[in-house]
Amino acid sequence: MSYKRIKNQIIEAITGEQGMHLTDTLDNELEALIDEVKSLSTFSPVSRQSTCTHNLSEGRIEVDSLVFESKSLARYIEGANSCIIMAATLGPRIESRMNILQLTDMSKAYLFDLVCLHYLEYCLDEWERTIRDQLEKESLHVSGRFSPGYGDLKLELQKQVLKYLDAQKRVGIELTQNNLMIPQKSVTAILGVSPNPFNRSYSRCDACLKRDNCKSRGGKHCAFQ
Amino acid sequence: MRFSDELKKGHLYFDGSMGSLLIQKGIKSEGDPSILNITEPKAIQDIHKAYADSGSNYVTTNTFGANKYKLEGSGFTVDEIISAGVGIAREAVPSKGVALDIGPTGRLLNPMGQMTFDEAYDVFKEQVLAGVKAGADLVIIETMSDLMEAKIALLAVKENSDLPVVVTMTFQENGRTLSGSPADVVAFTLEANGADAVGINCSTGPDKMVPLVEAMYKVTTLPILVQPNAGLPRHIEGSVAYDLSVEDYVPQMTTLADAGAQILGGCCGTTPEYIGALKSALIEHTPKPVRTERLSAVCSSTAMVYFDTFPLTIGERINPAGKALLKKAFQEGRIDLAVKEAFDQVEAGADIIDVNVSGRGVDETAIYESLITTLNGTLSAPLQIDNTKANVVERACRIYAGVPVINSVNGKQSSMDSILPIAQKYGAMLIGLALDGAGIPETVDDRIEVVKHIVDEAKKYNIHQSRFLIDCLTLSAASNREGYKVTLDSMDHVKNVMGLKTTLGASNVSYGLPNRDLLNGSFLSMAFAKGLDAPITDPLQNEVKKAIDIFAYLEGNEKAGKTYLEVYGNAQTTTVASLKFEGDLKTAIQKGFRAEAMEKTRLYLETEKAQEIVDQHLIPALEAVGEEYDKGKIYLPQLLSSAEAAKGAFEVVKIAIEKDAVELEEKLPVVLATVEGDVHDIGKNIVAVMLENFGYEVVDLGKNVTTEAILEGVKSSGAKLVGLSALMTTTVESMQKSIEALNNHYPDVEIMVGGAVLSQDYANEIGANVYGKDAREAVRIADRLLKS
Repeated sequence: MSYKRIKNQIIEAITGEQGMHLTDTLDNELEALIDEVKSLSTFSPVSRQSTCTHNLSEGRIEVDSLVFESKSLARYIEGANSCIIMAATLGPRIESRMNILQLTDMSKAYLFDLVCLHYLEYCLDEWERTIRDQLEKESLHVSGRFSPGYGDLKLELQKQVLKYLDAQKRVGIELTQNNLMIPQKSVTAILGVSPNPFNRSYSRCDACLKRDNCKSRGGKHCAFQ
Repeated sequence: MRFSDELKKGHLYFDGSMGSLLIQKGIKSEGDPSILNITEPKAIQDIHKAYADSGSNYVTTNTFGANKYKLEGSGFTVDEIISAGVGIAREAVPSKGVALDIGPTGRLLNPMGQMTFDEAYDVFKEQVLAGVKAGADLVIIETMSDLMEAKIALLAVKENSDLPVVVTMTFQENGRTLSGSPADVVAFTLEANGADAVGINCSTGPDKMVPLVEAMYKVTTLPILVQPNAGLPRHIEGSVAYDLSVEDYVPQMTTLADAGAQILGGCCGTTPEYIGALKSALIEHTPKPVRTERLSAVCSSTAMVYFDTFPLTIGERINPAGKALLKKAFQEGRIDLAVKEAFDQVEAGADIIDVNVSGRGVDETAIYESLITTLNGTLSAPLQIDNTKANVVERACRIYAGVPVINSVNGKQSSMDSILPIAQKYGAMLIGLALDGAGIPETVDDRIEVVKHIVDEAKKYNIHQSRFLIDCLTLSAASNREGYKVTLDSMDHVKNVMGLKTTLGASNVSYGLPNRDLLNGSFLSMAFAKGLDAPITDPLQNEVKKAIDIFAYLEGNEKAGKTYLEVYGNAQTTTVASLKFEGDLKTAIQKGFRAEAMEKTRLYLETEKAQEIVDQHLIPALEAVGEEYDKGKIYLPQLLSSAEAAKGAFEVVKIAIEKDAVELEEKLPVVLATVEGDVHDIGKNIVAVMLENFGYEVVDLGKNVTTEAILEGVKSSGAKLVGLSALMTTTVESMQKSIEALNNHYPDVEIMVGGAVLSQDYANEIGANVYGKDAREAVRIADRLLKS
C-alpha cells in the first residue's frame, strides 16, 4: 500500500499546495485514518467485458443490452471494439463510520472523507493497472475510466449499468431516486479496449464541468465526478 | 412431515438455481423474474419437478423478488405472484415440501438508505401473508446481506405465521456480509430471534464456505443450511458461466457436511444434476450433532462477546442521571453526545455499552430508535438496554441488529411478567437484580432467595440460567457502612455456589462521597476477589480502569495490546492519562482540545459570568483561530477541531445559564439544507459547525430536504439567511427550484449556495444572492449580510 502517495495527495488537498508539512498530530491522525479506511473497506470491483459497437459521429456506443448516448464517451474511447463496464465501492461500513464521525468529530470526519476519496481512487488505479497488464499480454490497449455524470454521459445510466453488473446483489451498491449511489464512496465506469493505442489528447478533464476552475488539472488527483 | 421431524432423520436437501435453468431454457423475463409464475408457469413447474426428481426434499418458490418494491409498475400484486408461485410448486411436487422464497427488499435501511424498520417489516409481512394463504410449508429468507434486514424479515415471518423459517445470508471473500457481520454473529442473532435453521448461500463456491460453517457451528444449536454457487461466475460475451462442474462441486460439499452443514442445496450455476450427485455422495453420511445449549454470549452486528472469560467491562456512561449536558441533548432529541460516549468507552476498554436514556422530558423510545439505528453496524461492543418499561425495552431489542443484554428484571412478579417474554423473544441476556416488591433484602439469604425465584421463573420461558448476569446490588457506603459486605457475600454465593454469572453497578458504593474514582477502584478489586465477572462501571475513571486491568492480568485474560506490562510496564506511563492540561481556555480552543475546553469553562464559571466567558474568552479564541486560518498558518481540520472545542465550551455555558435563568445575547438564525435529491452533506455539516461557533443559531434541516421543508424552516425560525448545498449538477436543478420558491415567498431572505459544482457565475444563473466557496467564507458572508 502506497501510504505516502495517498498521504501526500491528501495533504495537498488540505493545504492547496504540494510538498507541505502538516503538524505531527495531524500527520499521525491521517496515517491512523488510512489504516482504518483500509480495514473497513471492502473494495472488490465487479466488471464485465463485452464487444461494443461504436459510432463516433452519432455519439453512440452499444455493449450487450446497454446503450450509451454520449459524444464525450464516444470520443474518449474512440477506436474501442470492446468495453469493460465496472462498479466498485468502499462498502457500507465506510458509510456508517462516516455518519458516526459527522456526529462526534467534524474535523476527523473531514479527514476521513478525504482519505476515502483518495483511497478509492488509489484502489481503482491499481485495479485498472492489473486489467491493463492482463490485456497488454493479448496486445490490447485500455482507455482510462469514464463514469456516468462525466461530460454528456447521463447520470441516469447508473441504473442500467448497476443492473447489468448485478451490482446491488454482488457488491451492495444501490441508487437513490436521483441516481446517486449509496454507499457514497462508490464508482461505476466504462473503459474502452482496442488493438490500437487510444488518443490521449482528449482527456476526461476535457469533458469535466470544473475544467475552468480546477486546481488539480490533469486528473492527477481529481476527486470530482 | 414436520420440518423438525425431517431433520431428525439425517441430511435434508433443498434445490439449486432457478435462474440458471431458465437461461438454459432460453427464457428471459421482462421485469422481475417472479412474474414468470404467471407468464411461463409450465417452465417453472418443470424446474421444480426436475429438482424434486433429483432428490430435493424442498423446492423453493420462484418468488425471490416478489415484493412490493420490485413488482412496482409490473401490473401484478405481491399476492398474485406469490399465490401463483406457491400454487405451481405445490402442483408440480405434491409430495415434497414447498418453501416460500423471500429475498431482500432491494433497498437499504436507514440511516444509510431511506427505508425504515417498519416499512421493511410491512414489505415482508405482505409476502408472508400471501405465502401462508397459498399454503407454503416453510419460509426461506435468503441471500440477505444486511443482518438487520434479515432480522426484520425473520420477525415478519414469526409474527405472521406458524411456519418453520430458515434464514441464509451471503458473505464476501473477507468472511463477512456486506454490512460487516461475521458468520458467528449471523447465526447467533438469527437463532436468538427464532429461526429454525440458519446458513449461508450464494457468496462463493463451497470450499470458501468451510470456515463460515465452522464459525456458525460453534455458536448455534440450530441445523445449518448451505447453498453455495457452483464456484465463481465468469462473464463471457453477455452470458454467465460458473467454474465448478458437478465432479468438482460434490466433494467440496461433502467437506461442508463434515464441518457441520445438515441441510444442503445450491445457488447460482447449480442444476438438478448437482443436487442428485450430492445426495448420492452423502447417502451414508450422518450429520454432525449440534450443540445443545445456547451460549452465554451477546453480540453486536459485527462482533461476539462471550461471558466465559472475565473481567468484562460494561460501560455505564450513557445515563443522563447527574449529567446535565447529556440530559439536555436527549431532551432536545440529540444523540451526538451519547454516540461519542459509546465510542469513547469502547476506546477505553468497555466490552458492552449500557444505554440508559431515562430522564424527565425525554422521549425514550425516540432516542433509543435514533441511537440504536445509528450505532447498528458501527459500534462493535454490544448494547445493554437499561430501562424498565416493557414497551420501550421491547422496541429497543427489536430494532437492534444483534443480541443485547436487558438491564434489568427483578423479583417483582410484574417485572418478570413483562421483561422475561421480551428476553425470550429476542434471545437477549438478562441482568437479574436481587430485589423484589419488598425492596432490597437486608440479608444474604434473602437476596439469594430472590435470585433463585427469578431464575426459576425464567425457566418457564425457556431461558436458561446461563443467560443471566446477577446483580447483588451495591448501596452507597455513605449511608450504609455494612452494606457492602452483604453485597459481596451474596455475590460470592451466587457465583460460586449457584454457578451464575455476576455483574454489579459498582459505582453506587461511592455515591455521596469525595474522590469516587479511588473508592470505586478499590471496591472493584474486592468484588473481583468475591467473584464479580462483569462490572457496570465507568471505564474512563483511572482507578476503575486499573482495578480491571490488574484483575485481567491476574486471571490471564488480557486484551491484545493492552496488557499489564504494555500499559503499566513503564512507571511513567501510568500517570500519562492523568496529566493535567495547563493552558487557559483560549489555548484549549486554539489547540482544539474539546474536553479541556469544557473543563476550563466549568472552572471559569465559578468566578466569571456566562456572557463574560463568551465575550472575553470564546469569541476572541475563535477570532484568533479564524485569523490563523486566513493567513494559511492552520488548515481546515485544525479550524474544525477548534470549532468543536468551542462548541463544547458553549454547551457548558448554556447549561450554566439555564440553571441561573440568565440569558445570553440572542443569536441570529441561519437555515442550512442539502437540497432535495442530494445525499452528500459533509460540506453542509462543516458550514454548520463553523456558523454555530461564530455566533449563529444554525437550523440544520439535514440532507435531501424538500422545498416545502426549507420554506417551513425559514418561516419557523425567522431566518434572514438560507444556505443551500448541492454536489451534483443534477441536484442543482432542485436547488434552483428551492431558490425560486424562496424568492417568491420571502423576497427579503438572502440565499447563499455552495457545493462542488457551483461557482459565482452558476450561483447568479440560478438566482442565488451569493456563492460561498468554503466554510470560512460562509461565516464571512453571514457576518456581512446579517451583522452589518
